[in-house]
Amino acid sequence: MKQESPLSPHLQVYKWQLSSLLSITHRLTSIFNLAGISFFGIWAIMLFMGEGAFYYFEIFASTFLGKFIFVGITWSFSYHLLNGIRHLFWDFGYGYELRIANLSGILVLLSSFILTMLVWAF
Amino acid sequence: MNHVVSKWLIQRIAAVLLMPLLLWFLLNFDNLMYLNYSQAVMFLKNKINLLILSLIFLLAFLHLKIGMGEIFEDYLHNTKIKKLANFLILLISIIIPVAAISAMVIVGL
Repeated sequence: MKQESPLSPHLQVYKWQLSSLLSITHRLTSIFNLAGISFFGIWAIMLFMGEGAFYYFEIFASTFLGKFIFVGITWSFSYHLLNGIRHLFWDFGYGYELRIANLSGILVLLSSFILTMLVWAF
Repeated sequence: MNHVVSKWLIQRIAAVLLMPLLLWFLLNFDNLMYLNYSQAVMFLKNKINLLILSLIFLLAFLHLKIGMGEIFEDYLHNTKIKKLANFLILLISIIIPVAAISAMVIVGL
């Protein structure tokens, strides 16, 4: 039996441009999101373990690293959610024109930062 | 329906359902992470909060199980390693939501 399957061209093959950069970011944020939701799972489990265990979460949350991770998770989810809308339009066959695709990409990138700020600045 | 097509469709349906839930989650996220123990318990005693968080865990892991499979399909050359990676993601996609939802339900009920 053949053990090796054909691969997608690796990342270094492509010329850097907005479309590929945003596409790679979509996949990278999917991995961050897995880490993020697992992290939230830890929050739930520490809560289940009781006040003593949850206290460690509270200490972690009060550190700079904690805040940094929370803001990072927020941006990662924001980007993936917003760029996911862009992907759904493509699934229905809309938005492929180069100008539109670039414009929607910039819009998604800006909006992801705005949404992150909305969550944390107010 | 072809197996691959139904997977593709399930992934998109999960994504659409996740969008409003995740937006709600993000808008609450800054408060949620800084609740103390009794405030966090109170948050989960609200049945709607409990339901939304549980749905997020179920749909997110359904969505990412299929999505990670697509990434493995693109970048893992060796069929055995690919199968192993898919199996590990399947395991994670069962254990984490089951553990998290059980924990939240026990705290909230």
